[in-house]
Amino acid sequence: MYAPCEVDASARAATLKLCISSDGLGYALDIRDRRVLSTPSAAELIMCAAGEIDRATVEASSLSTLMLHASAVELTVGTVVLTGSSGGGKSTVAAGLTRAGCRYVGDEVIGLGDGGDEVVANPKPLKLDGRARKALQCPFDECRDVSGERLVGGSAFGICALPGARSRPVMIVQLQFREGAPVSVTALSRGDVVEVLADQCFNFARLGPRGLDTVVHAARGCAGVRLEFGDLEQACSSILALTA
Amino acid sequence: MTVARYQLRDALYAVELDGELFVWGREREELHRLNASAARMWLGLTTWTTAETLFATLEHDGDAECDRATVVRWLEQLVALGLVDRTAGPAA
Repeated sequence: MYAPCEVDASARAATLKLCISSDGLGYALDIRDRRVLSTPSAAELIMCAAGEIDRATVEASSLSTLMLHASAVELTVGTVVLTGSSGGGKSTVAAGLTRAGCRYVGDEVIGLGDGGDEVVANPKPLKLDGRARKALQCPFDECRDVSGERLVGGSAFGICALPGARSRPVMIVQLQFREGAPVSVTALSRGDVVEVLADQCFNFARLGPRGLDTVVHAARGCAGVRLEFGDLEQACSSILALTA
Repeated sequence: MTVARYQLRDALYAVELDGELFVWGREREELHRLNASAARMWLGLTTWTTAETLFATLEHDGDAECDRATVVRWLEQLVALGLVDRTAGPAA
């Protein structure tokens, strides 16, 4: 399932000390000797551990990398960053665009490095709920159930970037899924893009001024749109048209 | 008679973008977005300044969005956000 995330021996190593224990009633997860989760749910434990691995993957590429709660795909012109709140359709649209011929760059958490000039790939398996799977209309033989959602390797949809690969961001798309809604595209000002990116950063506060410089630089170099949609194919077509 | 004076606090980091200003407050670890009028006001707060002086500067620059009451209200908001210090002293 994590095959797209494999790296060769020359790649920079990421070390994450992760300890899972059980007392018979539940599970505990320690990251670098610090307890981060106690839960009776094995599924929750797995999701938490997977999330920490995601973060470590991107963090290992650079300590100055901003970690964005976003998905991303790469086109000929550059990389489109798909952001928005949970349930907004980031993973689904990333899968749809990959199936349409884009290169899958990452899901859940991607890096924004080198002062905002580079997206750092984290092509982890996509987390797709029932609605997403229905929209994508794929059999997903390689799926694994986790809390009713499924993790699907990006290679099920098309070509994947290598973990840690760098690409140039050209557009920030703030996605909002709304059942039955027609596609609606609204331009974001560069200030709006800064707000969107800062709001979706996991480590913005830790980086402080450097984080602000990074998102402002990214906003200066990228177009920004808010895209509301109710149909996956229309959303993908709109993004492809915007970047043509 | 005493007059309130205002000045930017230390530990702030600001970046201009299209006339707006994004300000990172290190103490509270908060990001603030100031519109163009507030950004111009911000530039006048590098030294202790009265609301009247700020208003005169903005009026001179032709900022139609600002009246005296608005300037005072914005200054008090910036004080409440921990971005600006306020002191009271005798009028000049």
